[in-house]
Amino acid sequence: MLAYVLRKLLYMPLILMGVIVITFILFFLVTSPEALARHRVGEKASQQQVLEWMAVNGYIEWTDAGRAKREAELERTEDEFDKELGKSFDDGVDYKRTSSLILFGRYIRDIARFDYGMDRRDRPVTRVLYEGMWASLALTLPAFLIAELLGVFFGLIAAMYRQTKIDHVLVISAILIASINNIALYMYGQKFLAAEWNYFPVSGYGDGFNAVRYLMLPILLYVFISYGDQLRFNRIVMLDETNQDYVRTARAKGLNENSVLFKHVLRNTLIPLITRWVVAIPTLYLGALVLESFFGIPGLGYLTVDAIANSDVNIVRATVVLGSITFMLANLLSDVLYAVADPRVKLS
Amino acid sequence: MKLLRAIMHCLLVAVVLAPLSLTTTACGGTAASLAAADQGSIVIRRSEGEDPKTIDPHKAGDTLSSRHCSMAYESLLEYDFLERPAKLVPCTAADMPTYDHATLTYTFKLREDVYFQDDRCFHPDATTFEKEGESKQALRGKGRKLTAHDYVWSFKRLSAIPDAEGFWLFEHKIVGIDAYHARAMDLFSDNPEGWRDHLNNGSVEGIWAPDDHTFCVRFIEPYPQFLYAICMSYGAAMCREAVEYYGLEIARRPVGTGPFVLTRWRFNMEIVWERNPNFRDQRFPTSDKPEHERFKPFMGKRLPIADKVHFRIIKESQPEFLEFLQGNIDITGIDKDQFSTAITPQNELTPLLRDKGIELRTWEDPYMSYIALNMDDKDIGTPAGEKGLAIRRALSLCIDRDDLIRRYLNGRGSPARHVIPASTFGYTEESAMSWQRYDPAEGRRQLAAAGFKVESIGRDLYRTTDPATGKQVSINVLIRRNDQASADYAVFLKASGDKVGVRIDSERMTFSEWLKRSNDRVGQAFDSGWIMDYPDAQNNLQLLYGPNAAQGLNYSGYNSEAYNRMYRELAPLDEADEAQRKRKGELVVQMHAELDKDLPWVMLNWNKTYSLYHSWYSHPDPNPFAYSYLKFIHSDTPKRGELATSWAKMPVLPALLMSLLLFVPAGMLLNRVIRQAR
Repeated sequence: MLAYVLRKLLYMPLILMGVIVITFILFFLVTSPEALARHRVGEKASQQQVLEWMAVNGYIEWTDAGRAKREAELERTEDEFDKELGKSFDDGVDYKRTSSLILFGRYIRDIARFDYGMDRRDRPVTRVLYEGMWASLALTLPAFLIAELLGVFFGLIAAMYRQTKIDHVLVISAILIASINNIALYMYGQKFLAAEWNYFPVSGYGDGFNAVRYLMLPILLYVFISYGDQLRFNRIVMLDETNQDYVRTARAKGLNENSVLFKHVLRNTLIPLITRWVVAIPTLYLGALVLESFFGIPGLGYLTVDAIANSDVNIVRATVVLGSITFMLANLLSDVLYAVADPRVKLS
Repeated sequence: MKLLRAIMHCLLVAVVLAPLSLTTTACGGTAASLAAADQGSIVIRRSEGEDPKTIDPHKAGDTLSSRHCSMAYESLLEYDFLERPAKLVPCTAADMPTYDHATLTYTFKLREDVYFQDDRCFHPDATTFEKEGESKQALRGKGRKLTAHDYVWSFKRLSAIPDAEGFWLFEHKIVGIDAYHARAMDLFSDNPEGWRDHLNNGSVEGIWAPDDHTFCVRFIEPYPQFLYAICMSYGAAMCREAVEYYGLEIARRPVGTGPFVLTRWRFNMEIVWERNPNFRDQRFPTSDKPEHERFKPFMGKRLPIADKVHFRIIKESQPEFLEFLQGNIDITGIDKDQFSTAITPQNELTPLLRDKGIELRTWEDPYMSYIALNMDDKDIGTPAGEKGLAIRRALSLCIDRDDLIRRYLNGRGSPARHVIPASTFGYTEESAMSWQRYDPAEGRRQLAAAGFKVESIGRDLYRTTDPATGKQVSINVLIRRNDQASADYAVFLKASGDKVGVRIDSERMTFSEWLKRSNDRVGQAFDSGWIMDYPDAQNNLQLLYGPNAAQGLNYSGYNSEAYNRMYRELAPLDEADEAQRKRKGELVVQMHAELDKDLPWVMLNWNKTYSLYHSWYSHPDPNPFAYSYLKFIHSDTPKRGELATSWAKMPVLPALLMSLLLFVPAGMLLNRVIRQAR
């Protein structure tokens, strides 16, 4: 197993490099250095100011002609100013663009140094991610655990009472809940449970234990929304197992139904459940985007989307790298857990 | 099995307790806890849709950042809180500046009672924030007196940092500032020490301080808009000690002379400002005018009136609106999704809001939407001659601006027929541009007169073809958004074009992409907008000044000799001088006539702002250019606490119903499982 884990760990930098290359290409396909500059110096800045920003940040280099034009700009007489306000600088003549290869080299260098730089608000990216991660986890971790626990429990119940009224009620309720639009549920949940009836705060977040009262409603809604999918998935997994020979044998031995389900079936359904749980890990720290924005929870979900919308290259780069590493580690963990959960699985 | 039974029992207990916890969660709910927290002080509670980009005044280009900068920082002048139309008054200046026409120099005398807030950066033992971190923040030094040298240094900083948003206001205007800026840019990345020395010891020929309380600025040419420009955050005084101590962190830890001190900023959560104890003795202005009657209780009171301003960061419009309805925030705008909940079709408040004593205020925003037509385009621009002009006219005549405002702005706007808003000097009804109206029949006539073949292909559907090519006349508009609203807008444009037979195709894209394309003028037409920076017609008229095409402001690339000449004459005219004011008025009218003749833009609309206020909030008369108004605002905090608490009723029936529907069946099921397990 150790050899397998080491081999997987050795593959990781290669996979990570692939992800970084794709992100770099995609980001700079939709965002030009000019756009980045405009985001920083404003829509109303002159072309020269935009170019100066790009030069300072290594996206272009002035040519001799460009330098001469800049000098000439400074030496204009006062009479000339009102007539030719600001000269136009030409791409390739007055300045040269830094090649994409050099930009990519710098991009990789910064990642290797764990130097993610500053976000568009001049905050260190690592600090931004660190602060946001806890709020995201405070929402998603308990919500995920409760939803999984209830999902497994009701899945088992549905399997146990299959083709009875209980099974029908559970399945129909799951289908009904899964049919509700998430956004509509958040909106109506917030409007009625919080604003109209005042059972919960409408939105916000607090420090320490004070955060609990702000998290209750989003967690409740998350669990409610997840119930439909969870129940159907777990019921199918459980039913698959209950048709196995060992279950028939256990029943033939005279074990009661609860023992069969909770002692034997549950253990053998762990592999699909582990896959589901471990793959969910990266999504947990990234938060639940819509819930975070609706309920004012200062997590990473909104931050990432906000970064993409505002061409915040450093945040995008950091979340992609962090997401890729977490995802790869989660996959490795799930492989290891398979072997632990099922002795028949051999990692090689 | 014992373990299983224990788990089942725990779950059963949890299920039984769930409805109980639901009803107790809100005990001492938001309204009551806010009322308790605010007791004994005047607290303004507001919300923002996102965090400010920065509270560094030299980098704050957006309204939100500027509003927060004005809490901590001050400029030499500010807008009068009561007077309308907007009027400038001294802020940290002792009086209005004097102007020497011969040397083109403004001279400001500073007040002698202005001090920076107390801060760690003034402590004799302070090193840098990077080294000390939060640990030493409690050990503050006494804020020192503001001097004219702080303004000199601040103007130099604005010119020396590469990402200063406001530099464009002073570029090419102040003597020596361009050379200073270019040198700073050369030094910035390669020689940080040299850059720092340039910032601290270098000089700009046109900015100097003869003594501690006199600040002078000399211009290349007359620049009367300078007085407005310095009222924006870019004109604020920063102190060198704070910038050196905090480094980049200064964007989150403002140290200024303003009315408030930032005490807490938690990203995506809240921003809290509290009264600055060092703030000078500034009083609420007095006035006998009847329209200022409601401010009588505050006149002569020391500023800031509020002890604390608490901003919540609420990104979505629904929670913001619900928090407002609960009384947890004092003021809100109206998002289109909430519009029908708040406003009736008769443009009045709905009973839900009226019963809570909420007040609606509306005013014209200095924000205009327009489509800039590329005047260099071979089909619709100057090269196309009379045919191009006919297409431009047809485009303008086919758009039903009233319908556009009704559909996409919930009626919050007015059709635009001028390049300047009605509140600006120079605006006259007579100067309205004749082609900026809805008249598709006239549009078709113009096209036919120019030699195009216009034929009807259905009810209100036409097809205009160019006999020379046999192809339908078409135009491509670049839209700077890529959401559902922009898709609807594209459909609207297409339907408008059909009324004159011109095919209007739209390309929707991100704002970044749009900016690149429009700056490079790669496209036929650019869906654009402009928010006026200061109440001077020059600010909007510059968008069509030929040489500004290279600057990225003049998206249409309009370059009319006559217009340029008039703009050059208008820009330096001072409205304070009666003769110059008269001439400026004439020029604004003539420039509109010139634009009407060439039609480089299709004007769409001016925006209208709708704001809702609670009865306890003393809202100002709107001045969209002023950011430093929160020091004048009062919020009756006890009244808010009382009313908001009384609105926060918690009905028992829904909780019981939910229990019956959800928790009772779940409890019964669990019980059955437990019984079977036994």
